[in-house]
Amino acid sequence: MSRVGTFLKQYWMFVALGFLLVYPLIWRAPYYHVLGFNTLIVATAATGWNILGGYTGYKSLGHSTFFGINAYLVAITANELGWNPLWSAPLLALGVTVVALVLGWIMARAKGSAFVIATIAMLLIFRLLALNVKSVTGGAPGLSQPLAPWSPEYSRMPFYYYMLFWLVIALLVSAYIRRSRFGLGLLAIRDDEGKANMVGVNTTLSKVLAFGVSAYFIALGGGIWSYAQTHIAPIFAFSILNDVDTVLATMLGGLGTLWGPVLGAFILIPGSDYILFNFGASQFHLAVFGVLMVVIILFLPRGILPSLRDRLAARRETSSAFTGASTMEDLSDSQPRGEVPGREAPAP
Amino acid sequence: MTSSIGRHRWLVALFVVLAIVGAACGSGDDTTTTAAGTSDTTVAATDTTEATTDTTEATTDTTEAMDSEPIVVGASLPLSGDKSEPGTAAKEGYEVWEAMINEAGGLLGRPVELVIVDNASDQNTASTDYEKLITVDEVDFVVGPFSSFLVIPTSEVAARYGYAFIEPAGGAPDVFNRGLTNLFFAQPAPGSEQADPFADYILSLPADQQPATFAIVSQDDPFTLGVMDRLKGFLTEAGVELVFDEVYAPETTDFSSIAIQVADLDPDLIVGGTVFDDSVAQIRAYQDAGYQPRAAFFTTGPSLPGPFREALGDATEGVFAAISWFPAAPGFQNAEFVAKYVEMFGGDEADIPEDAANAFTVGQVLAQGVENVGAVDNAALIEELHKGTYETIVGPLSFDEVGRPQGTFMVLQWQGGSFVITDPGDRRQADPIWPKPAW
Amino acid sequence: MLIQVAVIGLLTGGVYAVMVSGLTLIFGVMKIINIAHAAFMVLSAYLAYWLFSGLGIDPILSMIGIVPLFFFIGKVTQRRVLSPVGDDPGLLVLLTFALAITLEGVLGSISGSTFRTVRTGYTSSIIPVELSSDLTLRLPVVRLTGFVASFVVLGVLWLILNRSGLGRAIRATIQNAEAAQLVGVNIARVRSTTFGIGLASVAIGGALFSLIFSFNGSSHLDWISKMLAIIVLGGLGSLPGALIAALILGVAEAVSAVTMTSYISPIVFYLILFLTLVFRPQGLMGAKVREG
Repeated sequence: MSRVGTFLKQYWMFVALGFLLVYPLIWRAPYYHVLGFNTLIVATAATGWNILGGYTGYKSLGHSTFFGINAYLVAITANELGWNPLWSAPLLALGVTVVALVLGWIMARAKGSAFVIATIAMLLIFRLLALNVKSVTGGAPGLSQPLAPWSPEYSRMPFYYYMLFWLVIALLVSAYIRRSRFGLGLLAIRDDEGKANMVGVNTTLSKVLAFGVSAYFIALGGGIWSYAQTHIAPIFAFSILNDVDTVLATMLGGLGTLWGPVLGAFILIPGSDYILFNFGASQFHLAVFGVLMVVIILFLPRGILPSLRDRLAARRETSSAFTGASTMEDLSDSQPRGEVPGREAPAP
Repeated sequence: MTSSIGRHRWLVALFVVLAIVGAACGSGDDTTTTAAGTSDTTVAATDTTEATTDTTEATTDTTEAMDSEPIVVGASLPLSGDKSEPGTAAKEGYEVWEAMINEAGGLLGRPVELVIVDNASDQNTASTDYEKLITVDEVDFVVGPFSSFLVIPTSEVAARYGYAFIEPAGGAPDVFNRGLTNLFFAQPAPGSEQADPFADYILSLPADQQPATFAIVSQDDPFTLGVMDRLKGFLTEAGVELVFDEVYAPETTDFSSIAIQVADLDPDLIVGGTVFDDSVAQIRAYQDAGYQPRAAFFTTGPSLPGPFREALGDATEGVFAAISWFPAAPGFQNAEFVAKYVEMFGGDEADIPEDAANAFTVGQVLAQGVENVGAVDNAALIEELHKGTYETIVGPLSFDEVGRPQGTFMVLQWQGGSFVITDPGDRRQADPIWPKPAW
Repeated sequence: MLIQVAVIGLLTGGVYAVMVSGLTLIFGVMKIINIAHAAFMVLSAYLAYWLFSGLGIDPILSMIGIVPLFFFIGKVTQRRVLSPVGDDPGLLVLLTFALAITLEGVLGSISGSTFRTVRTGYTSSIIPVELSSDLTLRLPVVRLTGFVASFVVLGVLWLILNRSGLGRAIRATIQNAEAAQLVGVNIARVRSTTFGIGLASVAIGGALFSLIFSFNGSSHLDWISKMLAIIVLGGLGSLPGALIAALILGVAEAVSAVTMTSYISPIVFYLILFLTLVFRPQGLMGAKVREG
């Protein structure tokens, strides 16, 4: 193992963060900042979604409800009260989280497929409300809000760095939850809800909290997106395609892992930008996207990171030359279903 | 057996991941690759340029000029998704303009090169595209996408960088009331004024023929609602009674309940605020419900001749709609446009989409504005466009301070399997049929 | 007027019943929510449209070819694409979603986004039924056809389920897959056959759909949520439930569009769906379904 390799293995997180910090300075055209920003929104949303979908096993296809609600709240408060979205987005997202907790509490009764359809129905209801309550939302044409005051060449950079900051927060929260007693409860619910209940996990409370936490990071992204976009309309703010991006990013990277959702977003968003650019002359890119999705689900059902881990584990079994603690293991600290998640989980 | 399948799976999976990662890198940091791969139009453009330099009057000057660096014009269009049909038509219109202007010696003596990208009918993607066109590809000019939804956010992007934004298809009130000064709508009049000439026609009928009642059935869309609001105002002010006013969700497909209500009230005039497929669905539902109005007007739908005729057959007879352009229109360069379109994309000239013509109009306005300025200068161009009047295939166009065009639309009516222009009077091809035959 | 509206709603509900019968059957046997169901319906509608506009074959007639084709497609899809993934409902929902957008992309590339519909000689024909001197019902022939067809399709499905060996195997699998396997039912075959039958029934739905509605490649997104609402209200997996729910919803939708604005009615629709899922996942009809 070369020295560079060892260094990367130990400090890759900081290398990655450093790269993300200097990225906008190297690629200076605002387009790259927009692409980065879009990617970070999905990475943050996916990290949040993963707490419910990955750790707890409840896969929502309607969480962009909260994206849309906060997008509207931020736009309305900016227009009516002059609130600056940079601080109002995270603040209002807390309010949205309260809404999510209530909805989560109602939906905690639904399981499996019923839960998935219920989340879709929730999204459709809120989209229709946004279309209908015209006095508040402006109806189908949507709402405009003031432009960010920064000069054009740099106007996208603050959004990028701001979202990067929130991605780091989301990851810290996700990592903390994963190692906490609460997180253990979530994993237990995923593996067998009935059993989790029996060993004393308050499953309803845990599910509702997971629902709320995941909603927070998605709502946050919606609020900041609203400011960056300056104009929002119901069909784009409450779009199931936002959910699909989030869910796909998570599954591609590794469902239930800490880093998988981020890795997935960094592959998916620039990748689909590229597919759209090159196959976009017709609707063929949808087919390309669909087939890729099928292939990924068929061949990488657990995502890239867990599969990589399996691969490495298999190699380690065959070759004894591979020694030492592997950081790859930390990269993809997912527990296969049914396994007791005991290794690195001291009770707080 | 199992292990061999496992190995095989792994190969495929690895290939997919590599493909995606490779794709991501390609779009992330290698601008030259993307620029080269942008569109075949680039190649096509160069071809026509080469071909034409030989044939045109080509003094040594222009030949040298045409060899010089091209003026690049960028646009993001909905080539897939909800709006792909009109988006593709707009792309064709832009391409006809590119071909024609290069045959005529280019712009400021330099060849014109189009860069068109797809935004999949998505607002976010459309904004990102213009961001990229302006800041990465550093195009000289940008022109607009299709439909108000996409024009609103993208015109803000163009405004941020001081680019003029001439656009073919975003005429809703919200497009103009944000007070942007860089936006110019290249249709004869703001979208909401589309039905004005039709209202004029209705109110010009002798008192005993005028409809006494009318119904409005409109899709919830910024453009159609704008049109309906004005029409409603004109007609009710003149004493025509509005007996039914319904706004439906864009995804509505079944109009039978609405049609039965309309049939029950039996208004003389039915006005549909439609986008296309809903005009067909509405008319079918009225047929089923046995409703026979004396006149019927739809915002969009009847102006797409091929699909409209296919879906409705003889039921099209007598239906009115508004239109900005038609193949036999007398506008500047119209005959050339029609000929070139048929040459490039085939088909019948009667089936050339209006959206292609509107995109071509954008090119005409841009070219004349730039020639007047005499340089590639967006700030000067914006100033110029507010002052000048431009000859286009939809007639002369000039713009007010927020880019509203100062002309009028035309009224078409279906007569004998195709449509004719019935209003305004100076462009009339045939007298309107009133009342319309049963559908 | 309300009677006329309600009757049209009832006829439309019959067509809905054909559209969703396969969806609910597939759920019953496999616990899969087939998001691609509406996309397959649109595919069938396109096939009917192409056969009609190209060769002049009436959609009702073209079913003879399309239905077996869809049965085959369904069998193969289940075997090669769905069954290797296992039984995680979230993963399967995503997979069928992926199938749906693949179909949408392929159809969109082939035919653009122009809305299509089949216009036959009888498209706008009406059968007037005089109820009394001042009330004449107007029954559109195409919707009446759809209504009748729905009873034929559901009748055939009922016969298959209740009067054949295959049906016994399917019913056993719905009740308890593991137990069925123990008594010698070939679960894998039952599943792929059921998926085939499900798609075959939606092929019929698609042909009827092409006669009544306009569609393009993206239309499936508008329809799948309506289909889901129907099978949820009917009780996931229950055929008679789906029929009753389809008829009720057809009528409720039509009547509420008149009594409320046409915009409020879909909100009510989804709200009922949402509440049913949360509080009565077995559906309004009460057919108890085991959770997967």
